[in-house]
Amino acid sequence: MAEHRSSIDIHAAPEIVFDFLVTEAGMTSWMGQWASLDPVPGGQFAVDIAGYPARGSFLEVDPPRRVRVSWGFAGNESLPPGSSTVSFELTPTSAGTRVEVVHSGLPADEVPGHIEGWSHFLPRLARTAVGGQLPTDTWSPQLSTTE
Amino acid sequence: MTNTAIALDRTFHALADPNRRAILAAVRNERCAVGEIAGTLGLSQQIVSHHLKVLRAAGLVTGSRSGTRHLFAVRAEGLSVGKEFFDDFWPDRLTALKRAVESSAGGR
Repeated sequence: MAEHRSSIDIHAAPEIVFDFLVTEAGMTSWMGQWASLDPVPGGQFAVDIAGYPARGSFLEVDPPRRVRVSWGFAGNESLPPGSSTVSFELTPTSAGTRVEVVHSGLPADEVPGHIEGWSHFLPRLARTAVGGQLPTDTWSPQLSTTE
Repeated sequence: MTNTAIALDRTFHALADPNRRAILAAVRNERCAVGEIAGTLGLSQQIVSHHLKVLRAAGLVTGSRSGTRHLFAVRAEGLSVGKEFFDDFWPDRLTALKRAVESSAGGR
């Protein structure tokens, strides 16, 4: 199982950053276009990212230090809802807050068995993640024998 | 486009075809000749050869010779694109989080 770590320093107090992880308006200001969040252990975590439904539940909500959610995509066989875990750790710094995200339990190390699943959602997600507008039909699952 | 973006597009284009995904699955565990893949999947050898060309260009399969036979196998490095994608995903999202927090809170 693969794991990804990334961190960033933000010039704002942990209490302020924390709201962006657990409120719907806060979440959609940086990830996804729609969110339904119930930030209590076992509560719903649902964010639509470029039409892809990221689904899971809150595992841990410890303001203003830590949020952990289970994470997957509805309809995705390789990464079904709740199949991986994303944790956000907030550490106070002199300048504000350091946020570290750890995404664990990803099936990337077994990609040969997950080609179908990955190929369903990654292309569109890749485009939106770099801030691009989503063209509607550039990606097609249809057979093409002419190239 | 960056080289990464081009590689990503090429990989996803190659994967965005059910026959090509079936061919990848067929050569996942052992090296196969074109005829064997065609027989397994019920496709013509020409179609399989065509798809193998696309898969090779995307770095998803590799070919090797065994005597007079030309065998194809999955190229594991080419399949790391999903992993690499997530390597970019969270840094990009965190940058967006920083921007959102700092613009709305006006700093601390």
